[in-house]
Amino acid sequence: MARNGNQSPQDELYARAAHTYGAMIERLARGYEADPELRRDLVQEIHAALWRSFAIFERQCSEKSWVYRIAHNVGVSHMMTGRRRRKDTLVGLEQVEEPAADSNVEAELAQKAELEWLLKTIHRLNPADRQVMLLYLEDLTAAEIGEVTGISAGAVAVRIHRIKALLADSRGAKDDDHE
Amino acid sequence: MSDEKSARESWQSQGAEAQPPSMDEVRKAAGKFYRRIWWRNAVEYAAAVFVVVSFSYNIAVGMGHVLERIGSAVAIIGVLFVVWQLHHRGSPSRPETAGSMPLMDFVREQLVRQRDTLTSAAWWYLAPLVPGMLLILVGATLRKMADGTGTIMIGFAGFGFCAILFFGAWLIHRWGARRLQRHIDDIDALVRGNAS
Repeated sequence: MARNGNQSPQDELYARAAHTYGAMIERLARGYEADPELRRDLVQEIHAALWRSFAIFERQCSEKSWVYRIAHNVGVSHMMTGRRRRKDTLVGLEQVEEPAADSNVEAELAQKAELEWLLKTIHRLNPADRQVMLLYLEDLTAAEIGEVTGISAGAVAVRIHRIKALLADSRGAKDDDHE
Repeated sequence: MSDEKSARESWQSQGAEAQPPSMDEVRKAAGKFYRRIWWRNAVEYAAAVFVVVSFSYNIAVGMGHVLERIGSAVAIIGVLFVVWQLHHRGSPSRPETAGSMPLMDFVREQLVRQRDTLTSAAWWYLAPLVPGMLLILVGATLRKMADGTGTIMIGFAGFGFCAILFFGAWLIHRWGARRLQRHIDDIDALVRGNAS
């Protein structure tokens, strides 16, 4: 990122956060928007909200939670606006057992196939479950997910349990396909 | 490798190549939200100005029946009240304030505000326009009956049409409020931890 000599504290905080969480923001945007063109706009919108937010950031919570909250809020707003346009049907983790009917499990690149499966699954989830899944994939603990989202520890635990089951099922399905 | 670990590794393998936008791009994008709000407000105010100017003209040139002129004055007051309410009720929450509270609380707060706005729309958005509209309709009906270009039945038809429009608008607001309430209930269940 281009920097000039006289950055304000807001600019500095933002620049540091953009450097630390830039990759996460990019991934988060992929979780909320499948279209590459619209995703670019979403990434920019998140960065803009983040920059503005540092004008009012007074360590009300950890910087990490702050960044995740801002980014996910913009993501959810974007997703809800897009859903009104596209009329997508979103479901919860308990209904998404067979999420990616056309996922190419025989692809040579297992990671690519896994990523594809993950994205297709995430794009079908309702906002709350999508947030939990994205935060879980970013290695946040259940307590951190609770802090970012405000969802109770019990509800987070239930969702993580479902995510694990979902991942295990997908692995089982892939293994079966390979046999 | 466990399923979770593998999934997390696959997930986190992306995005490293991403370059954050330049500071100029960020600043430019930061104004977009406010430009959108500005335009929305500008359209509302322009519509109000149009109504006020055209009704004021009717009054100034003494157009129509006296009740139509009184109705125009009442309608102007009603429109000004609606504009004041729109201004008073403010704009949507700014996205940069989302960090100050957990996401679900933030979203809930916005939904509650939208629901309350819709629930109360009958008294602050629709009701203020009714007296002026009624007076104008009565005045127009009396004028047309007097000059022989209309009947009381046409007047009733006008009332019926307006009543249907207002009732429809009320129903749409009510339906929207109920839809938002369902989202709020879902969030409450989720935050309390008793959501399945």
